[in-house]
Amino acid sequence: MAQYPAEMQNAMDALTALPGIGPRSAQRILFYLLRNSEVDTRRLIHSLGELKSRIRFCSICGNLTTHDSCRICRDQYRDHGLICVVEDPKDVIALEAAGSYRGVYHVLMGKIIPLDELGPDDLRIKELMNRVKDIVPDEVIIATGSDIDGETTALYLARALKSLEIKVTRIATGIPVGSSLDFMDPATLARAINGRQEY
Amino acid sequence: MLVNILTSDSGLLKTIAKGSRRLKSPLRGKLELLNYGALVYYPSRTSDLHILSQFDIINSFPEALNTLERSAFFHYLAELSSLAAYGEEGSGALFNLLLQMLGDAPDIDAIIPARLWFEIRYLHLLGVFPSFDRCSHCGGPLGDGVKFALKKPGWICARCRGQVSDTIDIEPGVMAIISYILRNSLNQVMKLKLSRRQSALLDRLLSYLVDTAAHKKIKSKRFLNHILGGGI
Repeated sequence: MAQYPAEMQNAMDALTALPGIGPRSAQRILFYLLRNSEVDTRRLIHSLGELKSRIRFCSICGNLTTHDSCRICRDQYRDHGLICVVEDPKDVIALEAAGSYRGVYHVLMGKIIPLDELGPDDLRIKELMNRVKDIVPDEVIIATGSDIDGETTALYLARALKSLEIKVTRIATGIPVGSSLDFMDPATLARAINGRQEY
Repeated sequence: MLVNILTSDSGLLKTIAKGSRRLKSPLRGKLELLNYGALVYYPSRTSDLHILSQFDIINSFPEALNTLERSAFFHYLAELSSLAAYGEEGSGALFNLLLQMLGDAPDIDAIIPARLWFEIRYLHLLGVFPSFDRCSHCGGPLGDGVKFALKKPGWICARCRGQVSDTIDIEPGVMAIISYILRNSLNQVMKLKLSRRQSALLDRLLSYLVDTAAHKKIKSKRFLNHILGGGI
């Protein structure tokens, strides 16, 4: 293994701790930063520092924010009687980019993964239940992923929320826009058929 | 994505499914837990991580995961099966056991007997279910007043009960239930009605044996117990 100065080795160790970054990628990033202008490198360091010190989670929905509550929860023009439950803040960004949803969100910060011993108590389900009891929304949309863990989480939430006599819906799953049927796997096709809608 | 696949003739295959999360990947959506299918893989010469190139679903058993109880139950069975399949040793019996259970997914009120049916056969396959006809201490017939020894798992007859410590009292009805489960098919066992006391005793006994056999913490058990214990 190459012998780097201690400062460089420390930086490499810190980079390889990040997801998807191995020793080779870490080495490439470090050499790029060393070659790069000091201004750009300082800007990166500053922005990472800002990220850690200023970004926090919304006290209402769990989305990313720099204030106590996020931009969406503070927006009076959004429908606060419609709550969309998602796994993590990245899902909020994806749904906002789609531009077709005008309700508010609730971020679970993960999903139930029984094989990793991640259960309901490890997620923000208690916060969701308290929020639903407080504001009694018109509808809660469960928008967890369509993989097994996402479905398990959806089943759990549906049962928990139904006990509060709230309208609970699940986002549709099926054929992606622009795809043809012959490329689809049987499970996706079966879901698409089961979730068909009347014209 | 790394995917562990239980096979009928090659044990637990550890594979890497390159690009399987991409939208246009032929593997996308096919590598979910408990999907039963036919696969093509390229064996690695240097490691036990093989390259998965194709997976065609034969049955995805949607009914096995359509309720919370079944989902928790089959997560547990999947984990138990992966713990028992070592390397590339044949695992046909275990594979068939899981497949049979998936094909006859139990209703909510049949999950407890179905779990007992699976666990007893699972322990049998691993060769760790204590011999049922003799006292494990003296080798004599069991008769009435049987206990179960925890330290060195086995059935203890009434004559030896004072000589072995750390035991659980086994009522005669429970021995009959185990015997019934051993002799009968899954469909018959799923009709069994157990009292709360019998369920609790069998759960304690089999959980102990399964945990001992697995040599590892069974992570999905926490969720299973949460759901079956009425935690929601």
